[in-house]
Amino acid sequence: MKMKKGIWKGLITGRTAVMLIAVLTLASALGWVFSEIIPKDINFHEDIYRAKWGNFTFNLVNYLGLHDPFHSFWYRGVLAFFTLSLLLCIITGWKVLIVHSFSFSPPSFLRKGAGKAPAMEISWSKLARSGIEKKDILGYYEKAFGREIEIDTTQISEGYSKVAAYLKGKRYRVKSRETDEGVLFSALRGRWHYPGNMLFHIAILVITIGGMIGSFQGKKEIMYARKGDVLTLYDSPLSIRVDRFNIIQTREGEIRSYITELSFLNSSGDSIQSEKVEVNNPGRYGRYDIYQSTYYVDEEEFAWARITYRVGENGRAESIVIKPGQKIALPSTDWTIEVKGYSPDFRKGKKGYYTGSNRMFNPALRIEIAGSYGHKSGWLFLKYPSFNFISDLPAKFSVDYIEPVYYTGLQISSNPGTRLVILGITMAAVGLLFLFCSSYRLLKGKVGKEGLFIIIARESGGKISKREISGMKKDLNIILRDIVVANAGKER
Amino acid sequence: MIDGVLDISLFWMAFWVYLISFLVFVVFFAVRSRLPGRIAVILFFAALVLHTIGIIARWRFFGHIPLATMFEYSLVLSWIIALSFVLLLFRFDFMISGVVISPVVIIIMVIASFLPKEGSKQLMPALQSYWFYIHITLAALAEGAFLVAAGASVYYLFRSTKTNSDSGDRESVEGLIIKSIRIGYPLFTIGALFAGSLWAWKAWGSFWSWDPKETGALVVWLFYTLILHQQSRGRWEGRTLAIVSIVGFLIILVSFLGNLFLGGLHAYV
Repeated sequence: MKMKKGIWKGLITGRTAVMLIAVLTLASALGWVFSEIIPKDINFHEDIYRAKWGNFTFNLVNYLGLHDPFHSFWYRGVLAFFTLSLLLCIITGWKVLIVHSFSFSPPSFLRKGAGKAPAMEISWSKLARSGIEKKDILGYYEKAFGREIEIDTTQISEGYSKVAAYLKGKRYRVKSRETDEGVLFSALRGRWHYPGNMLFHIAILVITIGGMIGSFQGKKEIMYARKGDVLTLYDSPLSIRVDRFNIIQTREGEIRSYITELSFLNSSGDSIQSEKVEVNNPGRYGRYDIYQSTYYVDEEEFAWARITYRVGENGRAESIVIKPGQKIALPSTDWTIEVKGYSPDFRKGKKGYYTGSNRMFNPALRIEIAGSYGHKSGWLFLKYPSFNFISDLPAKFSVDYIEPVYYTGLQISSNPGTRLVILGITMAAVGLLFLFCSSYRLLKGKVGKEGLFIIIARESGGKISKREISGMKKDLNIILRDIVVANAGKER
Repeated sequence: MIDGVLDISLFWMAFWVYLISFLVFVVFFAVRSRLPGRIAVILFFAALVLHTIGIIARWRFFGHIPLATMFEYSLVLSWIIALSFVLLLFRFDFMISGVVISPVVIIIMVIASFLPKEGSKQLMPALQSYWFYIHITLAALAEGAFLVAAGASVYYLFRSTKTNSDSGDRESVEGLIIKSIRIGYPLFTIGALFAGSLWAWKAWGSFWSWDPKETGALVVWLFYTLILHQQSRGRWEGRTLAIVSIVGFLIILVSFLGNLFLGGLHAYV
């Protein structure tokens, strides 16, 4: 029983929280390093890495999950401990929150010199001395070394009222209690600091839980489709049809945006909802979010191309539109033209030509002309027509336009933790606002026969500085001096 | 065309004036006479003006806030640090810390000088979002605040080694370190982590991808969370606070430069 209580207490201490944050920081930093230096594909090429590292190192790396450290048992373990500690701190933190922010009351007694809390003191007799000029020698020495200054209860009340008014001007809420010794008071500022703190901690917990749900229950898949293609959604009878895919480019050829227009289809193939999806603007149906993730062009096929040719030096330029697999007779010649090859990104290597990427960086068509000159073929380049070459043919050919076949890359996600994460982020933002825009200050003080005494009973969100305390003391000196000076006048 | 070159020329001019200002700060530090200190501050201010005009010129030329590349981010970050220092000079007698803050600005500008300087009038599709402004601006402000804390920490450590140093001065510098961290922390949390996560969710369909930059930001956040927790427990004050604040700066530096050689989703330059 004692041990259980000890473990419980150990888990909720500030020291444990700090230790867990430190361990989590260290674990994240290690994960950061490992994820960069250890290849992620060790399980796909096990033989290669075993040969390279040896069995022991490979097994160790694999066991510790260093190739994917943030999903390893040790990182998840640290995260689980952190979450547990956070949960316990929240459960036990309510008491602190209510005591410090809501059940605020004046003290029943106050002792000078108790504890290490910063304090300030203003005595009536010191005030009296500072209120009398030295040239009034008799009065000065009388107050300094002679009779104690006498302050009655009316003056104590007046003193308290002035102190309270000053503190209220500094955005403190003040509560007081009258006793035989004088007026005891508490002053509180920044009461939303602790609720903000609590809200922020709850929010971190909510985000962590939301993230964990997403990690275990969420699903995402990238699917590629051309215009008219239908994709089946996972775990659902629904499907989506790509109605249109459009790439918007600037005059300089830079991509401004890419947009997919799609329809959600029910099991009978009827459209139930249409969405326009682009980067930063996903579509949604039920639990599915559809993101415009990427796009590419078909490396094998194009939609159509426009080719211009001119027979002889002075012949007229003619244009034709050609599609893959088509054989077209060229007007005013006895030739036919056919596209025999296509590359969106033509490159030449040691072993011949190849396609460098699935983007339209250097589109080219390989055409074949058949007719009286036999079968002649060559490459036509869209961006570099000076490299066009078809040998032994008294004609020039160029390609003016190639319409590629675009594939839109759609990411289909379902994440049941999304709402929790968004809720957590909102709560955390509000919590941070309260937490960092207000500094908690609880002052406890007494205005009595000796003077004013204030201690800084609790502070959070930035320490009260010596400068702040001395400034406050200076202000209160000026405020309270009037009472003593008036008293001195009465005595004379 | 002139506009496109103008900003780079202004940044170079600002760099040289910052450098001269740093040298004068060193002289001020050595002789402790007010005159070189004032000259250094005036030079620093002049460099800041050039730096500001350079940023405005680039903004005007490309038509968007210059935060789209690492080069632009570095320039804005160094500008925030320089501006914070000038603003702090109005509040604190903080002239001597110019000897620490000006080289921080210069180092970041040197890093920027090695980065590709080309910009584009057309932001890539992923960056065309209001989150771009919120996420990157707040992250830059937060990192600027943390770097100011680190600069003040170096100053604090230097002062604390002097046996006759004024405790009131040290207290105000310690206050500045704490305040800078307390300003930077919520900005970093909201700007770098939350706004970044929400933007990632909108653009990539996932709040968190364990991308090197994201992980770096998490480590930075956890480290400053640790500092604030220790602060609330009355620990890590004075020299310790100054040392951990400098360690925080080093972590930021690794995270800041991380995507240049680590790649990932944030490698957009």
